[in-house]
Amino acid sequence: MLKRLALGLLTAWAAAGFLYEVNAAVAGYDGRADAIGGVPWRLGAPEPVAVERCVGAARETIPPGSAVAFTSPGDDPDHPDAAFKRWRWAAYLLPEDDVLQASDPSAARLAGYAIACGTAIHDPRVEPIQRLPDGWLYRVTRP
Amino acid sequence: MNGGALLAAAALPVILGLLGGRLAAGLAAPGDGALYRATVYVLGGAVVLHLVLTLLDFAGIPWSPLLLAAIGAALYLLGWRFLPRGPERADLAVGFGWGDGVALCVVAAFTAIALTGWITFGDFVFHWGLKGERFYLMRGVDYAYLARGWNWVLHPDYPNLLPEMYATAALLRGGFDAPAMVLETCAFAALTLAAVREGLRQGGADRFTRQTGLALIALVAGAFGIGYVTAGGADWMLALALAAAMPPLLRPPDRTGDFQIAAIAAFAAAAKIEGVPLAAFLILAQWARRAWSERRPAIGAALRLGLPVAAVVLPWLGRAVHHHLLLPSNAGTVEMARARVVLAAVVESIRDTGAWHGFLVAAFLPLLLLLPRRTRPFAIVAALQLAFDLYIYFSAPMNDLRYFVLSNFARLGFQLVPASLAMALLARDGLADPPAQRGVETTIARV
Repeated sequence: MLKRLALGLLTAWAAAGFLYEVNAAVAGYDGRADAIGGVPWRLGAPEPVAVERCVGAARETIPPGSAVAFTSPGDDPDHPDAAFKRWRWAAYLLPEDDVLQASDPSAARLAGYAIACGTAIHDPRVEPIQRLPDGWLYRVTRP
Repeated sequence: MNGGALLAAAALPVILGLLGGRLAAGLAAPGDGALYRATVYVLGGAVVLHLVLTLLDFAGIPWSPLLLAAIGAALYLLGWRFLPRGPERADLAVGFGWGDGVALCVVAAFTAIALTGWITFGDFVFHWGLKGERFYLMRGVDYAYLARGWNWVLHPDYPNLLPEMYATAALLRGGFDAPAMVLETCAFAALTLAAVREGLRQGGADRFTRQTGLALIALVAGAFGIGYVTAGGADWMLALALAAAMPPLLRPPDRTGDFQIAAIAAFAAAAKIEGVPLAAFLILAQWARRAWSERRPAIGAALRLGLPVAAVVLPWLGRAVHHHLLLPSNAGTVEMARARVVLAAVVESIRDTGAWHGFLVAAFLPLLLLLPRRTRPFAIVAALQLAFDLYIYFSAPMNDLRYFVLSNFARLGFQLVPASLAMALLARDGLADPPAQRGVETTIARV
């Protein structure tokens, strides 16, 4: 009897936990447009949506198979690893291309295009070719 | 997300199940229930898909929907014509209970939330989904892409079954649709619970324990799956593999068990890098049981167990070495001086991972399950897998060890928890001793 009671109590505890998580997920999804802090990197949250707007517009211009250098604003205390995550989202949104960080030593040698989201690149080796939502698309020029 | 993408993603596990069903003569034991048979068939079919795609890659033949459909149909017809049928199902008379209803509700809730994309695992974006779409676009595994210096973040050395499944679903539909892809995770979740249900049944649990235990495990796994944002990742695949291994590891070792463990181990090895040691532990445990019971080396069992896994692991390893994909950060020299930090971080994970609601401690149950004879084969496999996880913590070159443990122990533990909880319920009810010792028939529990 005690074993059954213990199992029943454990199951009730698990049920409460499950309902809590379902509720948190539904509430989080409903409020995704304003999601800040710990969960900004989910599909549909503001940060990824901003990257998607910026990169999505560039995707129409960049020929598939291109090497693309990507840059965005640096990290801040509210968004640790934000620059890294924007880069990975950009790579995910451009699966047909090779997306590397603009700071990567290979970028100057390989990249044919550069995308700046939330920032701009001031470098004589790049020329802007398209204004993006909150960013720029550049062509990399080489002497 | 559109209907066609959903249909293609949902159809894939069904197609894999039909394909794996042609192997029923090897993969189905007479006492196996229908849901468990379907589970093992899907795993077998997934391994067949992986081997076909690997062969096409080696031959330099681009994947195409027509080619895959033709190969699938040919394999199905060849299996139907030349392979023996599976054994008839016993009349199990196991009815639908409230625990089954809870499990169905959990899967339905998980699926509904997963399809919104809100609980899509970050690693779907960072590597699983990206690789899947890249392979779809390139019509094959793009090793040159994986080998790029900056793509170490993709875990280029991981086995590719999950991205291959995504690519295949995209080929079926003619386009890659991320939200629909998480349906594969939902299928793995449903199959995990089906395997847990079968483990409890074949373990001889009474109706109360079967129904309450299934409900408990479904709620625990569902809470973690939703709260920890796991859709689209591969951790459910290893949880599924370990749960599916319960019935053959509970039965006395037999030829069907060899085939089942082989398919499950090959699936685990194709799913994720830590699935490779899991596969090794599974086949070693089953082989040791065969050799012990037969008092001889059991060469036939070794071949049945080892060949499917070798067919998965050797091409993967060969490709990874050839393209220099293996990351130096995977493992290094064991440093026992890390013990304090590692153990503190593990305890912190158990205490503070909200989505677990305390149940992560169940990942350590295999250590207790080593004591009863009947749960020992499973416990050896699960305990070795836990030891492997700890080995990585003690050896991988990491700057921030605490962060490293906190970032993944909750997920690695998840691979162990559903099956470990089910086994613990069997042990709790005194069902862990062999039937002969208890003098009652426990092979098939009836309502």
